[in-house]
Amino acid sequence: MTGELGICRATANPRFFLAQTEVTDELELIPTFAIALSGCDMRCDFCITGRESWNPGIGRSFSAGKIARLAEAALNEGARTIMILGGEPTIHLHAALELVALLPDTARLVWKTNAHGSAPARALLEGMFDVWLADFKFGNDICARRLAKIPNYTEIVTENLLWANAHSELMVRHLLMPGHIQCCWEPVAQWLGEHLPGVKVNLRTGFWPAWRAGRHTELSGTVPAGEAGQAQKIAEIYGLNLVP
Amino acid sequence: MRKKIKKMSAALLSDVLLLPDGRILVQNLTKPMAKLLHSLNPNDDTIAARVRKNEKGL
Repeated sequence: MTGELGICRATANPRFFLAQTEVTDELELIPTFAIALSGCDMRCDFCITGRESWNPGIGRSFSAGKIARLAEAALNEGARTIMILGGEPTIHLHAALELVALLPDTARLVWKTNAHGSAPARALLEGMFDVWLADFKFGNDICARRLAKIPNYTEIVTENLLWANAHSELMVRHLLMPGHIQCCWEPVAQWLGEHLPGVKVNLRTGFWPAWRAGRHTELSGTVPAGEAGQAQKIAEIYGLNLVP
Repeated sequence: MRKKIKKMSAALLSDVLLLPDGRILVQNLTKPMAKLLHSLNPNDDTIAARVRKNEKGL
């Protein structure tokens, strides 16, 4: 933790940019008390929280004790779950685990992740969260490298998804990107249908051209209605268990 | 000034994108924002479901 910084630029002192009760996420998880830690190991040009996700120094200093008290208050006011997200929370694993240790044993905990963590990281997470809410963003390594600047994306993510499904309840998210049905959504849908049949999948069609999306012509707008409909049909073809 | 910062830190945050075709996209949807959007368009099933879930949770 005191050596050279990695791609995420995270230090041993995490910060957070959001801690509030939300109803944005999957219906069975809401209301959720969401805690968003600053910084991420991926560099998605279309990131909806690019400013905070690309800079772990943004936001307020994280105190597990203070956040745990806020989370307990939210549970008492009707929140069904507590969700730790980012950025990418894996880069602040020590802080996330410290927070989990302070939360009530009965709380339903959600780990919202890009599923791009390492095997040692996920081993430390075993048994800590009730639900893994994991992104499967790209259907091939070329798009992953071009849009998020990371290599070997599909191999790492699919390995983590299989692990998460074996060790917790898994829900998979795919943010439909305009112009990426054949190259990204269809391969993702096919893989999920073959390797994780029945797993809950949330297909999100509300892409908006945030952060540096304008650098990519196809990402400079929202998802056309025709593409959203086509994506639904692909989900049906591969027998996916779509959840709202 | 200190009071102002303290008040701001407790504020809820939602991001809303209004599209020319009338669609509204939301990130970090909070309970008050969901209620507001629902009052503007009660026929939107996506928001209505979230308002209902929230009411059941309270």
